[in-house]
Amino acid sequence: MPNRHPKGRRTRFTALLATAVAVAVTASACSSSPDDKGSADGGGGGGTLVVQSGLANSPGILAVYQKLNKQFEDENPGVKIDFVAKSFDDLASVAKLQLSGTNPPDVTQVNRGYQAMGAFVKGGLLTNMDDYSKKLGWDTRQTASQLQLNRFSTDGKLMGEGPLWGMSATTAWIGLLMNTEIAEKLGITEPPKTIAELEDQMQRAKAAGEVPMQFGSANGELAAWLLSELLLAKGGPQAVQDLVFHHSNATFTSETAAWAAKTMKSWGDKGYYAPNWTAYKTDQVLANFISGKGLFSLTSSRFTPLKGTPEQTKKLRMVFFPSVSGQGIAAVGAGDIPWTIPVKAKKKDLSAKYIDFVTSQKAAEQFLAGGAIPSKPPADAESAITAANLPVPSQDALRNGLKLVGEGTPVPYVDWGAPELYPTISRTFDQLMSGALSPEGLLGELQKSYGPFVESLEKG
Amino acid sequence: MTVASRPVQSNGAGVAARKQHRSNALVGLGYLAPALIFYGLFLILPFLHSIYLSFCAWDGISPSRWVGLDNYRAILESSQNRVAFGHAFVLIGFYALLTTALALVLVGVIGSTRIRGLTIFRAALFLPYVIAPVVTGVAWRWLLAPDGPVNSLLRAVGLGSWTRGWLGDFTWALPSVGLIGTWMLLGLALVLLISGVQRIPVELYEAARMDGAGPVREFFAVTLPSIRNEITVVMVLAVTAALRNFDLIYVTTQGGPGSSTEVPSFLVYQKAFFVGDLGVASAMGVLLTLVILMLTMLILRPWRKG
Repeated sequence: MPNRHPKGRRTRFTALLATAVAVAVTASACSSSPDDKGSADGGGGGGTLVVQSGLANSPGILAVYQKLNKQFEDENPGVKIDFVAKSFDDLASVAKLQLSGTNPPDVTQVNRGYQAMGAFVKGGLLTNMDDYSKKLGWDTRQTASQLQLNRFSTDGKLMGEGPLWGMSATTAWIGLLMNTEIAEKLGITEPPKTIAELEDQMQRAKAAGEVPMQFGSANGELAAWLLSELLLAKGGPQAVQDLVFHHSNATFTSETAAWAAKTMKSWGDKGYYAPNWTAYKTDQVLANFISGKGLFSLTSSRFTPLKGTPEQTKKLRMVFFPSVSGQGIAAVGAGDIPWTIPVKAKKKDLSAKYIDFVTSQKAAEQFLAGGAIPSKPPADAESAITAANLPVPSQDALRNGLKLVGEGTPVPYVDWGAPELYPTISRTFDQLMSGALSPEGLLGELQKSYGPFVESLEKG
Repeated sequence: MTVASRPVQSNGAGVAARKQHRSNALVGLGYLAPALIFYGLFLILPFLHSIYLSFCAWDGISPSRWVGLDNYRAILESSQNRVAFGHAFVLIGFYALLTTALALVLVGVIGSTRIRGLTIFRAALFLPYVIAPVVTGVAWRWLLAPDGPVNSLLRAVGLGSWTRGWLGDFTWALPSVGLIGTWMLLGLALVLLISGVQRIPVELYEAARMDGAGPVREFFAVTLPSIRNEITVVMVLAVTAALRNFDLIYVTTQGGPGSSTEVPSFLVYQKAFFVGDLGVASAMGVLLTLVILMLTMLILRPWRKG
């Protein structure tokens, strides 16, 4: 006699299977059409301007934008700003769908790099800002090296060249945080100017039982910063720029890259990184350092003003990462995620007016007062910094940041050179430290993530 | 074996019955239509589209380019991907085997013991499954931090040498994630198994006792065979959860240290949203689906035979 019961159960299992299948592929299913092409009327006027940022985790800068938005609305009667603040990851995840859709934001921040801005430019999803730049004077408002990072060839193959596609309102740079209280105990009176001095000071900290370098690699960010800074320290700005902009047949098998890999490894072998550093993400590293653990740490100026009590932060300084030669002013740094206008935005002139406003002198003064480094320094920056009455590390971040933009050379992050570089640095840095990879092995892995990508762009 | 003969019907009655049958089928389809349309639009079509994309090179914006099996070849040739699939199988050990084993032990204990407030106990055990995995991940990240409560506890009981940054340790990161997953799924497994146990007729236990069976023999002779189907459901759910484990990995380790907790679904995310290689990401998603299908069929095989 046939038994219907198991068959019923089988049906339920089939449904379960189907659900499992669907769930497993959802992550890879994308709904935007590859063939979407944009068109725009370039109209302006009033109404609501939707402005989308990736600044949800930067409350200090967000507060300044809120003030600026109010001022923009006051100056433009009939205009209302709908300001959307997303986290950087959320912004990056939805960018393709939004920009290729029919109703993108009027103004949006877009991440740099070949897989983001480069791909959007190639796909015709962003508005070429050259005309606005000439008309509104953006091309002279910021330095050439700042604007260079927002330029891309129209085929999306050459970063740093071609039309302007975005404008950054603020700047962030990577530097060395130093605990002056621990330094004084060790008899250190000056921040290190050369790598040899830095290594000597870390050795003294180690010998005294202090953590030489508060560090963490759990999310890979600090590993990418350290590699960029060491490449810069040895090879100068050109070495990093060549890798990022694919100039001079640059590779990760160079002498400079070999030195950087060996230096990172030797610091690990000597126990300069904080104990259990593989377990800490960037924010935890910063929290550890602020709580007094470590002579040095790496950080971005975007984290200033630092969290912590005035008692904790008053002994901290933010200085330039040293170089091998000790000459010149350079640091890894770039304008914040640039503001762009989607090609399908409906009020382009108004969008451009908004970007013009947030990158203006008036906005710069307010960013500075809020502790952020404006991409265009105000005329009397020093007075503005003094008047802002910010904690010491914030003042350092602002003064050195403005010095870098005005007199020095901000250098792009090396992982912008190819889409796979960041995850590869994150993965291989730990493997280098554990001994699973040699310095040569690390460079080989980096080159595997870099070389074929550069070749694929050249081949088209 | 006998073959039942069809009842003889007049031609007119047969036509009427067929019409009635067709009408019933249409009504049934009508009821199913909303769900079927939803399922087709949001699950089947994206899945088919993903299969198509897995044979293409596509950055998500430019026109896609047919590359045949290149994406699959690249995935299978990459040692990083093979290692990631290996990690997923280790997680299956925790999510499916350890979870089921622990749940069975608890069911055995609960079945043979009179526990007051069983409902509260069950609700407490089920709670981890209700909490969003991201919240679970953040909480466990804090618990397992180098200065977190787990290490503090170890130091307090004189096991200071055992302390470590669990989620940043090359040896312990993957087992730690596995144990977090086990903690999450244990409640679900227990609830499913207990519901199976509650359907077992009391007479079966009485008969076993009359035959001289003790609690252990009772468990193996009565309880275990009776909840075989529930165990199968738990195994299928747990294996699927282990293979599509993304959120927990993303929040706790992001695949690190090194590549020691990288799993295929995390690589799918990385390829799709950071590298922008949607062809490879889709191919990996399809491979993951195939692995889930094969394992599910393997688990169901004894059940189907039964």
